[in-house]
Amino acid sequence: MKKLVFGLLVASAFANPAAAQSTSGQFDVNITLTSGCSLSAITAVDFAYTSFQGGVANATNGGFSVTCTNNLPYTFGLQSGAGAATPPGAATIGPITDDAVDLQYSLALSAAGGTGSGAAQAYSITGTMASGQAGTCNAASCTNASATNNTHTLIVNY
Amino acid sequence: MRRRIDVAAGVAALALAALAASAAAVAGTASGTFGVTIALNGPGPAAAAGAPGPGQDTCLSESLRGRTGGLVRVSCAARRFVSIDYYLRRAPGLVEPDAGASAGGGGMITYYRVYSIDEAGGPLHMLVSF
Repeated sequence: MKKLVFGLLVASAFANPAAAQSTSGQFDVNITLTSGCSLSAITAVDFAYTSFQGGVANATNGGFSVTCTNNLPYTFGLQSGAGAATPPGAATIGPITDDAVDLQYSLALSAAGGTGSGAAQAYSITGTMASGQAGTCNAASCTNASATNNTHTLIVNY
Repeated sequence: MRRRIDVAAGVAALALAALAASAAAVAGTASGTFGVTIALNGPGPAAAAGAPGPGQDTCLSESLRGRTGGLVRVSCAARRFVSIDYYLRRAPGLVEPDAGASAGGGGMITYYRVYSIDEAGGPLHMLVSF
């Protein structure tokens, strides 16, 4: 009988660690997401124009991309000149008279805005130049490289 | 005094509400600048690559005899100074443009538009020199 009792005590001593007690608690994770948009570099809006040409000249290039937080709506605005941005800007600007070649043009956007997807979304600035303009040029061809009003501003509002 | 405080508190509340509304409408902005480039070419083949230099020019002009409101284009193969004068048959020699005339002046791209001549007394002759 003593042997049996001793054997049970030994067995229970080995079994105890396996039955250790546990306790648990829950905790929250708080996240504050500040949404935002980033704007890529904008390629120049390029016009090629022939004096007195019969049709409207449409600009090429002017591409850019916007990357915004998922589901974040945003709009675009344009502003003449390179001064500090004054949101929200305008859907179109112009006519602007280039002070180097004396040609008038207007600028607009391929879309009014969009909704963020977390990935880069491509858009472009469009430009038109009315037909029949003379322009100013003292050679067979000129560019507006010396113009002082050939830089403008794109604003992304979100 | 109490009323003044209440009004001030109301104004402050309205200002805060307006601020909150504006903040909700526009959370932020991003902006960037871009350039506009313009390449202006003279009409005709003048701007064509490999155009002949001075002394090898070929200039063509369209005749609009008997037509009104027309546009005369003069195309030169290379840089040429173009001037435009006009006169009336019954009064030979150059005459001063009337109030309805505008001139772009002489140059490689030149225009001279006459859109109103009072008492012209005869056909208008335009002389394009290059």
